[in-house]
Amino acid sequence: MDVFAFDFSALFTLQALFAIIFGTIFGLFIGALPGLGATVGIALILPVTFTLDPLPAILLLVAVYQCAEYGGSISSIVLGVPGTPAATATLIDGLPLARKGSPGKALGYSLTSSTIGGIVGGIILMTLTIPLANIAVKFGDPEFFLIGIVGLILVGGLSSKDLPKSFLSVLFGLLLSMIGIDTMTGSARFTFGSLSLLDGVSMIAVLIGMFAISEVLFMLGDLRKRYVSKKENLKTKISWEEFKNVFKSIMKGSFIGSFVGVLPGLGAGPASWFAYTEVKRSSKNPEDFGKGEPNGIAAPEAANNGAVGGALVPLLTLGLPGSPATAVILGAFLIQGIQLGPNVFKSETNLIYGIFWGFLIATVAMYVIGKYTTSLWARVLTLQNYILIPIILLVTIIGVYASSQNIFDVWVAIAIGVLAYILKKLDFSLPSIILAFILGPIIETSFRRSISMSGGDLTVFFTRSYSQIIIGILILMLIAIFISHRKQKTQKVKEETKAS
Amino acid sequence: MSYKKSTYVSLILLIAMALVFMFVSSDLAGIQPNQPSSPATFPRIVATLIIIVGVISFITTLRQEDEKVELANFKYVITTIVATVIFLILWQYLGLFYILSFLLLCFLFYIFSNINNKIRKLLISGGTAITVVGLIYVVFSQLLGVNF
Repeated sequence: MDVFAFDFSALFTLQALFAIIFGTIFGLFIGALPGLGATVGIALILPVTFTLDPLPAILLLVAVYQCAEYGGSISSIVLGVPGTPAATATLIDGLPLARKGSPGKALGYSLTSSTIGGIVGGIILMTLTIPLANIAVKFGDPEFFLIGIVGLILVGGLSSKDLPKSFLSVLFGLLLSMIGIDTMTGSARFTFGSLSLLDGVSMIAVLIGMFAISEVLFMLGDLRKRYVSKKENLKTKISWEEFKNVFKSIMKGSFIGSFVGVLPGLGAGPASWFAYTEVKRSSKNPEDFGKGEPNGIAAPEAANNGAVGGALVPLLTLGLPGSPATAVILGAFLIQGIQLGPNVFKSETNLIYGIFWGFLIATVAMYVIGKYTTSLWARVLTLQNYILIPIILLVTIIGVYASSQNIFDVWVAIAIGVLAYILKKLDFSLPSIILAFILGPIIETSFRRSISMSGGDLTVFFTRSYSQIIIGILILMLIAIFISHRKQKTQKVKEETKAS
Repeated sequence: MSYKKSTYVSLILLIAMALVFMFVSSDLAGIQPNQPSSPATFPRIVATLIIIVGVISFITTLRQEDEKVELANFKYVITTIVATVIFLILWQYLGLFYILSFLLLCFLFYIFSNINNKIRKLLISGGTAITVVGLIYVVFSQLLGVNF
């Protein structure tokens, strides 16, 4: 059965439409609350699916997943509080643009990019599901290790003016990621006797501490500042010209997100960071990034929504959940009595094609509902800093606590926030720490598995055909970073000569 | 605060942390003696790299010109951190999340505000704090079932 020969009336039943609209609103709401990302949202709504038919049940979860990924950018842009790793990349340029007095524009870039990213991810899901899943299963541990290293080198090479400090930040992030139980042997590492550290340092605590709490401390520098004084700047919209300026980054982000999303274990977080570093690397004005550059919002936002469609590829074709969010969706399929895997395309054709089309409808619903509700959040920025700071501080504490119901994680977030405040002043790179912390477990596990499989032979990383392609990409990117640094140095010298 | 001196201190602390991780790793090395890798392999690689890159960073900092690190409103930074730490200690041992949240917000609004009339300042701080805490109660406790 062809995807276009699907019986569309199944999507326009009351139950299916309710699932999409309710899932969209709930996803936006839960995503916008710090600490409560897509996984928590899907888990919270799961009991509702028990009484629904299979198609509306899965569409409800998919809509929550898609919209929570976009919703995460709202608190990042407006409050500077990232709820997910994916939304952290958006914060780097989204927050400065909002604080320049244009939160509506920043949210408009985010919404438009998320929608296009979601649609591209959906189209890839519909057209390339089986070939992509076949490629994904051929990626072994050496390839995952190399992809992780590519990500770290890229972010390390681009995110600070001081290169050694940037790479030290990467290494510090890796060190943090090693705390907790070693997944391969079950032995506790670097917990120093603390039971609370057995599960490792909480991801949410690190994200929120690193970006939100340190930002609160920076905001104290100007207590009278008001970021938005004109109400028209709250509207979530961008002009056609502005859209054209970021279109290339949106497409880059969408494709990077969709393909990275397919790879199990990576997902929206690394996808958005890869997209961000790629558009910064290829930009003519990389120095504008971090100061409110719209391309720095468009690429990661398109990527994290592109990754949603991508993440559904291995789930549907192989029954392989690549992230906690897709694992909960897999649970919903099992509750409905559906076994996912290659045979599902024959046994549940209508359901699968219904999910494909419903996914696209949910993305459009996200745009429409998001356009009219998002600006309400932006109103927060009409407050002066002295009111905003205590509110953000309390919201960050609640966000960390709500994610695990553990006060220890709040302590960790505060400690990391103070540390990040100092590290940022000294030109260490916070994005490098975060990406290394996210990718650390994947890099270590795939490294150890690779050398175990090869009996300690390190050539395993260079002899496989997919590994060689990734190494080729890595070399090209290193050359590009080197040229970009040379260019910047030459330009600086020229400017200094002119000035003198 | 001197940029160079602060960088040296941070590099020394980072290298010390790497040495601690390396030292603790020695206990983990014997867990899988017959395998090419153990739980200690990766930490040792990372710790070694930190020491090498740390020394490189030390040298590059030596060559740089020194500058002053600006810490605007530093007394407020310290006050906020201390108030948050006290809030967390009291929350951990007493519970009473909503009362303590109200007090934390009220205190911070009060000291950050530039209103001269103390009674008006207190009323505005208290009113704003109670509104925010009320909203948090409705969203997190009532709608999402988060227990503090």
